[in-house]
Amino acid sequence: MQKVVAQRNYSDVMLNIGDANYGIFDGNAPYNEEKALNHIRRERFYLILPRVMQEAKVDMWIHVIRPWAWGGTDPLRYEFGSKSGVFIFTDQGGGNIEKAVFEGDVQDPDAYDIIGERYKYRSQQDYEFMDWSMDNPGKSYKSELDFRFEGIGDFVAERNPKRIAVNYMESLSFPEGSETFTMALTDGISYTDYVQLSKALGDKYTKRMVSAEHLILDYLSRRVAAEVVLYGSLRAQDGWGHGGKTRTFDNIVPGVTTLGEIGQASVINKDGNERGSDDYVIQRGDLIESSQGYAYVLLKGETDLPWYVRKFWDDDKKIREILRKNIQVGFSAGKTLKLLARKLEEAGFVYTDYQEYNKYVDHPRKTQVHLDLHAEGKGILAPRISPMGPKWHWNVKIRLFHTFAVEYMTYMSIPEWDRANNFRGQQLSGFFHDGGVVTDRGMEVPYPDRSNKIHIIQ
Amino acid sequence: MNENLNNEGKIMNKVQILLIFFSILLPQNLHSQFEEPKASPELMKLIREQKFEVILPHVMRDNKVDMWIHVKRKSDFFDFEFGEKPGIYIFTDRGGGRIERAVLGGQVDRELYDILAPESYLGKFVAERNPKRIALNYTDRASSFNSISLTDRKQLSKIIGKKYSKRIVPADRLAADYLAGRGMAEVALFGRLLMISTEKIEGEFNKIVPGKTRLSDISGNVFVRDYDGNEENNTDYVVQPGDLIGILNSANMMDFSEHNGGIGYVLRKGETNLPPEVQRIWEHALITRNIFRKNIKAGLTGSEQLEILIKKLEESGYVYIDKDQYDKTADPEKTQVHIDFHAMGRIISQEEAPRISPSGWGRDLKIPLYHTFTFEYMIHMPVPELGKGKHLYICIHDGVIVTERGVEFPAAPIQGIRIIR
Amino acid sequence: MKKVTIFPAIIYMLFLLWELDAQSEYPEAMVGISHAYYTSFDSDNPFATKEMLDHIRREKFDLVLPLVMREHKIDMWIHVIRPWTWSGTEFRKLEHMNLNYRSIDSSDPLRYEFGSDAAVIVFTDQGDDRIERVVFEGEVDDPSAFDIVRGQSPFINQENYEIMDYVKENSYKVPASEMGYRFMGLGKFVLERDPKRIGVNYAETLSLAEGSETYTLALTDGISYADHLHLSKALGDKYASRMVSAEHLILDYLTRSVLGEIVLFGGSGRGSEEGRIQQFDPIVPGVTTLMDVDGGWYCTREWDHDEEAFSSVPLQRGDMFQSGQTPYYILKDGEAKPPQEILRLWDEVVKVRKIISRNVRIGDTGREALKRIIDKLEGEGMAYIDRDRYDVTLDPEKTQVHLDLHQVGKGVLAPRVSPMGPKWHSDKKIPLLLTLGVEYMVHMPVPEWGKGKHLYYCSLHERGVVTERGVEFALPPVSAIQTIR
Repeated sequence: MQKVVAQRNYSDVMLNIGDANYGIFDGNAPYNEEKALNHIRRERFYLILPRVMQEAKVDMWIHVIRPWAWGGTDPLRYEFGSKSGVFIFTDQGGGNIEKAVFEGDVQDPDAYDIIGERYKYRSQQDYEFMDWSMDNPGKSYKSELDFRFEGIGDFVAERNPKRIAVNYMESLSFPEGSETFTMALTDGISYTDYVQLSKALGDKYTKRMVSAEHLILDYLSRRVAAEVVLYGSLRAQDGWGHGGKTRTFDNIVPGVTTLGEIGQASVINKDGNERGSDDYVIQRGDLIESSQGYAYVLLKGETDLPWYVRKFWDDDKKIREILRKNIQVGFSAGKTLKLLARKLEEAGFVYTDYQEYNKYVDHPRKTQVHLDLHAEGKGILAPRISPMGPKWHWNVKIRLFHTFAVEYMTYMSIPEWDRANNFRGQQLSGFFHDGGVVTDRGMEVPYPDRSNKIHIIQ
Repeated sequence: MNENLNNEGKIMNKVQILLIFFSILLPQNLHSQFEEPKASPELMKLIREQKFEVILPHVMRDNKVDMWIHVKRKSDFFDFEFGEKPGIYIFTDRGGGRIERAVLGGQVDRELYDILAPESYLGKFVAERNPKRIALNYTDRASSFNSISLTDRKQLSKIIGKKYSKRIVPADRLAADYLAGRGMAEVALFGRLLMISTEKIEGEFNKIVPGKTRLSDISGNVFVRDYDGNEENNTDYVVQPGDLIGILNSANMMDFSEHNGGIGYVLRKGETNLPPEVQRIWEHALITRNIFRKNIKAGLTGSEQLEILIKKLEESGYVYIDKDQYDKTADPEKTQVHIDFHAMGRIISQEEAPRISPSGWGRDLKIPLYHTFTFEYMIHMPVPELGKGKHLYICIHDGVIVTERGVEFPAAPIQGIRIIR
Repeated sequence: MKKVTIFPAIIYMLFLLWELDAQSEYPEAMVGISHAYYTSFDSDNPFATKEMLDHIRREKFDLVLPLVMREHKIDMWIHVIRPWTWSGTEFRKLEHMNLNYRSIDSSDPLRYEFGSDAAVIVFTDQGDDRIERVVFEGEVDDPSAFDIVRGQSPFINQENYEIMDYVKENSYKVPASEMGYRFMGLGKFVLERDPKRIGVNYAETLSLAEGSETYTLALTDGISYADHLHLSKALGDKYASRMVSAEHLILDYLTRSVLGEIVLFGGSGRGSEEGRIQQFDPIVPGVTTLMDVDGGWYCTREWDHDEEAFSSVPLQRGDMFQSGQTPYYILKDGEAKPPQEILRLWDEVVKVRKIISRNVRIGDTGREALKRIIDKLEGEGMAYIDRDRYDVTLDPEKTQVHLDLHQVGKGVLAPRVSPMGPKWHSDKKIPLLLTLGVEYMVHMPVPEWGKGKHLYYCSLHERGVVTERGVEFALPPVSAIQTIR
């Protein structure tokens, strides 16, 4: 019973893209207010919508969002600001796209040129058809489904589009390829809706229907400057989640301070073994990673970082420089991956497809690098500079202001650790997941990602 | 069908109360007041590094300079980009994608600079690199970019010798270009600052009580003009019904700053909405905004850009005025528009930065990609029914960025004239 | 080779992991059908245990499933439930209520019947007494209820190495698009069984979603175009041409109950009437409003009564109001019990209730039952109104009755004994053991008070079950008007 009332209590989630758990437009980011999101919507309508429609050679785009999924997982619900509606975008030439809410509710009516009524028969529980019978004496209908797209035939005919994109999927595994499939983006309209829409449009316009899957992917993969602002506001204010009550690296006393006092930390000890429990006491020779960054506790007699830590860090800088320079607007993610793999190998690394150390390589002492640079912000992973995922992740081009996770892993073999562990094979592996934006200049970082200095603890 | 709502209503009231309580508390804590961002060391480092990587090579090559020497003896306009400590900052294009960064006689973040050496190394340093054109922070004209003392300049010339002294050129254009270039971290910062100043402006409008509040009580640059164009600006003038009030306010993080504006109209007795003439002037604001948006591109100079905009305005039936003053000799039927699209973000002065405007040295600078500036334009709309020369005035001031796609708003621009009751 | 990781996920990953971890703290809400907000199988029903619901599921597989498939001449039923409708959004909104996200969001009509919010389920009638039940792909709450459970497809999530690994091992049979993995193997499975008519969950004529109980909790309108396309491809032309809509089958399956459901139906809600009667804080006439006492509506009305407006009108002595199903009368000064006209209302209510109980029959359509009840009501001197609004043009002596009896418990309103809703609500035949919300509204004029003034009572959902004997109540309906001094 609580649930019924609960649904009345909560306001529409349109307010906060963060509620999509997309990771970037986070509910905690202080700038995600309704106004900012409405603004982004309009900017995208102005800048991106004409482009994607023209490039796809589509002069009408019909997008149907049904409220059946109460949580609302339509890929474009934030873009359009609605959990329920039939949207029709018509290219009127000259860069003007007519934006119509043929029927439905939107968060931001001023972003549209035409706002239709809410679908009268969205709920058929009450007097709707009794009223219809009174208004249409002597008439009858075959099925209530016939009312679903009432009027759309005339609307479309008035505009006489040549190619009508509709949100059904044919080849792109949208939901399965989403960020965390349980928060999947849907696979488009129902078969029932497809049939009813076709009936409502009539043969002439039904023949002109095409899948909007590529158009939708294109629309979702492009960003406007205002989205870079939101993306860059994540953690920009205070670095990254310092505990406040935790110790900083400066206060670590080897043999006394525990991991729990530092908070959200783990250690690789001098033999290459990982320790992560809160009551672990930090020792000399430990390499610490925490939300504050990285630190190394010098061994007795050591005056500088051991070679493997220095090398690890130098390698990381080189890798980032390669990424920075070679991720460019206009190339597909797949091509970019090939380019990066080549550049990494030219720079003396081994590129690996898998997220683990590969012991079968010709040069086991070379640092191995795995890449999974996927889009961030909209629940879709494409464009994705990675060997993982479905093909369509790699086929998407990288566009201006593409926001993505600079996610990569490195694996470095360390002979000393081998020896210390009976040659079972220990590597130093790193996992990085920062944010990046692609411009004409290459990859840029819109917020301070992580400390790129290792604290040395005496 | 109402059964469950009623059955559970009593229990849910308590939950509702709690939910309402927390929903009031939490949003207020998070959203009620945007704070100006702190210039954390991490953010500063990111911005500096980004500019070195993506802006510096381009601006040096565009200005055909292969060595840029910036002598800093105290805090100056490049604290934000280079660091606050004194020293001789030298940037050398040695080919490849990257610019070498050196500091002689200074203390800097070693992770950002390649070479730290004593100042005495200067002569040898330059000679080793054999630069063809050396930009130095001096100008032959009066300019804020002229930050090197005469003594230092002479001393430097002596140290590097005649051969290289002859190759010295002023760094003003280079410096202006460098300041004007934006990395994505600055773009993100710019948008956030715009949201902060917008919130400030809205807060100031909330305080206005017609007949009581004086312009001087309102924070920011606050102005009202009468139908003859006489302006009260931050004076003790008391806000009256019928006033169109403009408020400009700013937000900054260290030396990165911006300002934008809002407009409010004070209803007269009996009015419930904006009167027709005020609605009309707002429509002009939107029409002209669209004209500007469609016709500004990166790569042109400010003056070239201005010519295009003037042409487009006139084609659309407006009169362009090069001063922010109603021109009584112009066609009394036509609305007049003045433009001052000056730079924002990192500027030494509005004059010495890229500027789409009838005046200022910055007019001859190219508008770079991702240039952060303002759509600052003034509409003077004649109101013939009130008499000859009578007009309404508003000033629009929104932050914008120029990208490959044209002009984008990184934060929501002004949405309308606010009604003050 | 032991891999040593020194850099666990940074804040972004920690944040995501926190979210996923939070969801595992909460009990799985599949246990309670009530979590579908279906109003009958309440979350506070102590009998709605996992064991009971598993039992109901199996009973239905044994008793109802063969019946409905054979009546519809369908020998294979493929039901696809996709997890796409879970968004996590609602979890975040409701997380403080200690509910697991999984069942809240999925809106497939049969997710509780099958115990899954993500699966491809295939039922095949092979001619025996029982129907073969196979979870071709997916996870179910109650694996023992099925004959074969193949588990979740590795391709339901294509974020990681799934495709890469498959392509490496099966380079000669890689589907043209990643959607080709969706129903991989189903063609062969179906071919082995050679069904003649294959019911698939897409709707052709029934507005299942719009006609649901509270459309925001709507039951879906079936599989996506994409699923239909790829299912057809996987089955091949021969079997794709045998696909038919399972909409009527689904409706039938949902509307038939087994006894276990009747037990739950009767065990839900507040139990006895005493449990439902509320204790109010002292009512101050002229001050306390309907909202203050959590009342639903006024029962003492003018002819053009505006319910919403009256929610903040102060109660007076002599007023009658309803809170939930129970009516309350506020005694006037000097009154020891409600006056005659108030008591007369209750007589009318009981009369209507009896007429309904005796005239809802198994096998009738909702429309037929409605007609029969109307005839009986009119025979008893009452007037039937097709809207829940007092009709001031009718005979001022006659009690007016509006009817809206409908199924409760599954989110589906059909069968429905009512003039409201889409045609298919009233076209549906009333099956044995239908769990019926006996909902009727009585508008009794009180001519002594003046023209148009009347008393109103709405039964809401009295819990009726339809048997060969008529309607029997699984839970006691309200027995009297309560008085407040």
